[in-house]
Amino acid sequence: MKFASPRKIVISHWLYHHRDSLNKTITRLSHRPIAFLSTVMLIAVAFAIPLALFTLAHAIEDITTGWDNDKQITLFLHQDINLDSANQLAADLQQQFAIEAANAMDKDQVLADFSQQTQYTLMAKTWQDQNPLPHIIKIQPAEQANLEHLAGLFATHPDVAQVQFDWLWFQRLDAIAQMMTRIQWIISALLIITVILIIVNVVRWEIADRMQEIEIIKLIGASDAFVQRPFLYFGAMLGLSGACIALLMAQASAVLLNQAVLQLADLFAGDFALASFTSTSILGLIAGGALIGLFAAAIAAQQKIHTII
Amino acid sequence: MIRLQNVSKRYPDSGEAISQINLQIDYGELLFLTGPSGSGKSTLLKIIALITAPTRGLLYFDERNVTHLGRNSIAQYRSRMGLVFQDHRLLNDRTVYENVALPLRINGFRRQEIPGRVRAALDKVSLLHKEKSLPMALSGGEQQRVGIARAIVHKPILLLADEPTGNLDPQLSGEIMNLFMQFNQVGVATLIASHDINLIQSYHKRTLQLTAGRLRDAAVDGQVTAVSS
Ligand SMILES: Nc1ncnc2c1ncn2[C@@H]1O[C@H](COP(=O)(O)OP(=O)(O)OP(=O)(O)O)[C@@H](O)[C@H]1O
Ligand SMILES: [Mg+2]
Repeated sequence: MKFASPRKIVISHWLYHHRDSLNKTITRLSHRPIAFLSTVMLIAVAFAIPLALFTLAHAIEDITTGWDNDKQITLFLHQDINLDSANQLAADLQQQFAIEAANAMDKDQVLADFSQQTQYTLMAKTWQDQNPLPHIIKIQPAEQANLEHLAGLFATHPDVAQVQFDWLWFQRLDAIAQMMTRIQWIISALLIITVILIIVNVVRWEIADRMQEIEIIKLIGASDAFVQRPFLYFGAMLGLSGACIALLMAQASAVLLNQAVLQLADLFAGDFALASFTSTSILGLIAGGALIGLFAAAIAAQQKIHTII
Repeated sequence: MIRLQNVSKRYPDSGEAISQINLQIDYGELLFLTGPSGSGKSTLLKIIALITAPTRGLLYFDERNVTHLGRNSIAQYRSRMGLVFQDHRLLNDRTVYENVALPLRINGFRRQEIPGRVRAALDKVSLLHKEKSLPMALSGGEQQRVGIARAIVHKPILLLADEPTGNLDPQLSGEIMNLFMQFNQVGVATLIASHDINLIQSYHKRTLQLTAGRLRDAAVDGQVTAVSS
């Protein structure tokens, strides 16, 4: 049943009243900065942890995809096999097996490559006069090849002393990365639930604190929507501020960690840095924080405000 | 405008606060509601304002049954009324101006309209000079006048006042009553609950007498003329 209000509410009034509620909310918050800030910091930490995990998982993904391209099998030949035989063997292998390329490599070249890697420079120097390395064949397997099977076949060849391939290692790292992604989703979900619960509770306290005021406002004709509005703003503001500070935290730790990560990446031939956030993702995160806050505040308001009068 | 039909209210764990009330309030009418403490005056006002629902009976507004409205409709219904409470019920953390502006904000008045209306209402209760004060800084009589300004600022069609002079001395009580008379003269229907029979009788208006939850409708001179069934 409708009761014509004295005035119809049009958009500009609506905006005005929202801005009014927002101003009131900010004024109220400024009266209790410590309480507000400590809640915001709590929320920020809860937001920052999944953010950091996402950044890290992203970085690991970057490394592993980089490695995917250079899956290789290296055949170390017996010392008595000369370079010509090695070249011949490489050509034979390429004919027989499902491989993309097989290239023999002079042992001096192998040593040179080896000495390029900083941590082996000294060792390589001592070997300069008498190279203990054999010639090798580097094999680039076909896209879908079963590396373990291939490696097993190569190992049986009489000229081959040792087969080395990093595939298992890739698989393990991949598995770890996948597990991390899963863990990160679970932790994120838990922490977002935590944030929601924090905001629900803080808004509930705020409502309880202002029960008398709400009752009076309802007595003079305020709808639930009107009464709810400042609390929704309050929740959104908590979420938004928490998200902003979480971003700052994540960005700061990325800067601090980047040096270490770059060193790590160097060791693994990777070429990456912890990604910093794009402006779209920043906006998305802040909007997400505000929405989560709004949602939590709406839950609190639903529970509490409807029970008054 | 308002019609109650066989309205009864029983609170849990207590007897019937009001029983079998039949009552009609017309547009622009002023009436008093009197009776001893506990006779059900507040309960009757609360039912009319839809603050509490009757246990039995029906409430009509312009011949529409409003006994069991939804929450939003209740808010709309209530925003057509002005409520005055014995304990003022002002928001203590907001200025006099903000308190009086509240019904306008609730009703979605234009921003430009609000200051003018608030000041006009404060002027009517002679408190324009206190608009920036907080309620705590006002005397009881002044607080009550702020409450009245808030009740009339959005031009309600029905003013409900529960013991508006309950805490005031006789002279202030008279001033407050005179305010209600003025608003009534510009067409606001007014229902004033008060146990101050002397004060009520001096106005010669229709007076409802509640006794133990039952209603008797008295004439303007205070003589009982009808007994509602
Ligand atoms: N919320 C409540 N819960 C239970 N009983 C109530 C409630 N409110 C009022 N009553 C009872 O209903 C009866 C009428 O109360 P009401 O407040 O309407 O009387 P009143 O005429 O306004 O009295 P007063 O002049 O003291 O304000 C009383 O017996 C009271 O105890
Ligand atoms: Mg009472």
